Amino acid sequence: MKHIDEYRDGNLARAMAATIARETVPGRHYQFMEFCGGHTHAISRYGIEDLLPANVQMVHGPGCPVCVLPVGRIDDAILDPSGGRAIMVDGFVGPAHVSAVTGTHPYESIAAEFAKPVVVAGFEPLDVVHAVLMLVRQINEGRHDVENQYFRLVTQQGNRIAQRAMEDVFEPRPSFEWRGLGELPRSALRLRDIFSDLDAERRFGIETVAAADNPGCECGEVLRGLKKPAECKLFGTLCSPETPMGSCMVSPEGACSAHWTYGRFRDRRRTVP
Amino acid sequence: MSATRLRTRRLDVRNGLIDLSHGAGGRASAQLIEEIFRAEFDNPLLNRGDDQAAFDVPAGRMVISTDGYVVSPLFFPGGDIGSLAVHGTINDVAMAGARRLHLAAGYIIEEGFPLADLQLIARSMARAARDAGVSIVTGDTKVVERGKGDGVFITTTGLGLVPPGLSLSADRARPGDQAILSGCIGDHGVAVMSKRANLGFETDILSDSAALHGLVAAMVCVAGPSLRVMRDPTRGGLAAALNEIAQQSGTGCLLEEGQIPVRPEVAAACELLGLDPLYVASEGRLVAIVAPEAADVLVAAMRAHPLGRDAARIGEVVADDQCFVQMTTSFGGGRIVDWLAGEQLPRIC
Repeated sequence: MKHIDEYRDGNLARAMAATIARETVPGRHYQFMEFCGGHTHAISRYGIEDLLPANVQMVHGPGCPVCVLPVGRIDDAILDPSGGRAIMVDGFVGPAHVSAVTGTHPYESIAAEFAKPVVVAGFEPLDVVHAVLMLVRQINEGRHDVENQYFRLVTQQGNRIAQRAMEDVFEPRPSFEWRGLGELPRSALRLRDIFSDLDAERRFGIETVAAADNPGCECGEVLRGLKKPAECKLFGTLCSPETPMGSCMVSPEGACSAHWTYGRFRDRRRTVP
Repeated sequence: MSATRLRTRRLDVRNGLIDLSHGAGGRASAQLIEEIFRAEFDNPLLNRGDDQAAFDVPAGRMVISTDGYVVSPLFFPGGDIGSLAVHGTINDVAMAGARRLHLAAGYIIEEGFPLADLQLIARSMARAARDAGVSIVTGDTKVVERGKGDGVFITTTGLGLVPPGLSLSADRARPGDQAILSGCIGDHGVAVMSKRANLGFETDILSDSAALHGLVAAMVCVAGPSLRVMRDPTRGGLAAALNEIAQQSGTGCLLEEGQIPVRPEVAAACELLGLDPLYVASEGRLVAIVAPEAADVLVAAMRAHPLGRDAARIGEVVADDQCFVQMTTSFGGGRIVDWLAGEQLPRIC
């Protein structure tokens, strides 16, 4: 399939993986977070972790709802709420399709503020492996730039027309509560007043009903990259794609669903040497 | 008794519609059976006109299988509900290694269904059965009120006879056994889906619907008792068939994605629809688990048969108390091929 097979080429993948293995500094640990579910899915679906050397690890971050936040707020997602401490991540794989609209410039403040490299990458498996190589190189060279691996679709400034359309129709909410992340100011959008007759929330006077989560659900920790899916007590017991307890298991792109569907055989591999 | 003698005017097949009287057991029912079904199926056991077919059976091991067909649309590229109802049940019988004996067919028809379509379906069933060398020897017809069905549903039951010395069952897979697939997967599911979603694909993908008893006979001939399991990957696709085998035999399976044949146009359609071909139904393919020493000769025999031309060794049975079906992706990493969660394509067969 043209324009698909090129980005799933196993030979290129093996060659690129060998380059990553060659260029990583022995004894040094590289931990990268992807915070878009599309990448999480590609990593699990193609078994990308098997191609990476042992000292390069992927941490699955917040996923879909967060990757379309005003990007200035993503920093909240990488802070530990208890102390405002950044979790141990060396760099970020930036989202693909949303960046076609936003461009790569919104990530520049994150890269600068946290001194972490960001590589915006496409959703095909070779895109992800390429992004990992680019992150490894930045770290080895002591850089923390925003780089664009997905240049076949994404530009620095993004799609201005789409941005203006968003601006015309939506405005940021004062605050919004996200699962696992809590209340974040100006983190979600709503329709502007001139479109309020189209806003079901206002038209029908809908108020958010507080629903209690299963107390065992650790989506919050998984979303923030503090825990792996299999470290949640509910994973595979009460919580599976058929009977999801938390958001990470609901969407096929959620970290828990992707791990359950494609990767859970690895949990055993870790315990049996 | 001959039903035709009771009546002077024949069914208006071109313009007529099914009404409730066609299922009421009266003259209209008798005429429908006579002019649509018996006319097409025409065989001595059916023509006797009894409520059942009676026949002698040779000594040995028999198999029986039944399956309901609710595919939508009723007519799709490469087949229709009639041919599918014959092929599907013949295949379920053939997966035991059995030689087909007879078929029975039951119809639930919705009031208002065009007689012309019913005749097309019956004709297609008759052709499929004739090509497969099997007779539809008894049947049943019911009519439900308008809105209580969706055109026609068909249930077929098949009887078969297993050759001596052969014992195929999903609990017989053992570590080291080889998994052989008879051809490209997903053609049927994509053919049906493309018509349903009105997707204008440039090439028409045809259903692979076919009766597999001939291929099975060729396989039994060369591999005999080395054959452990056969499954046709219908609903749930290859993934479901292999997970069933793994679960029933308490083993795992390790697949090579690059060895699994998928037509480029099917792969492209799946990409477009967000489907994984591993979960998409075939109706004329089988996966066989065979002892390792017989694998090569089996693949060669399958490739010599028209329905097994693309046969390939796709993986191996491995010891695994968690019964995972694992796959090395063409990209180079590993993944599970899990059971399908939820419904990918409803009413595919």
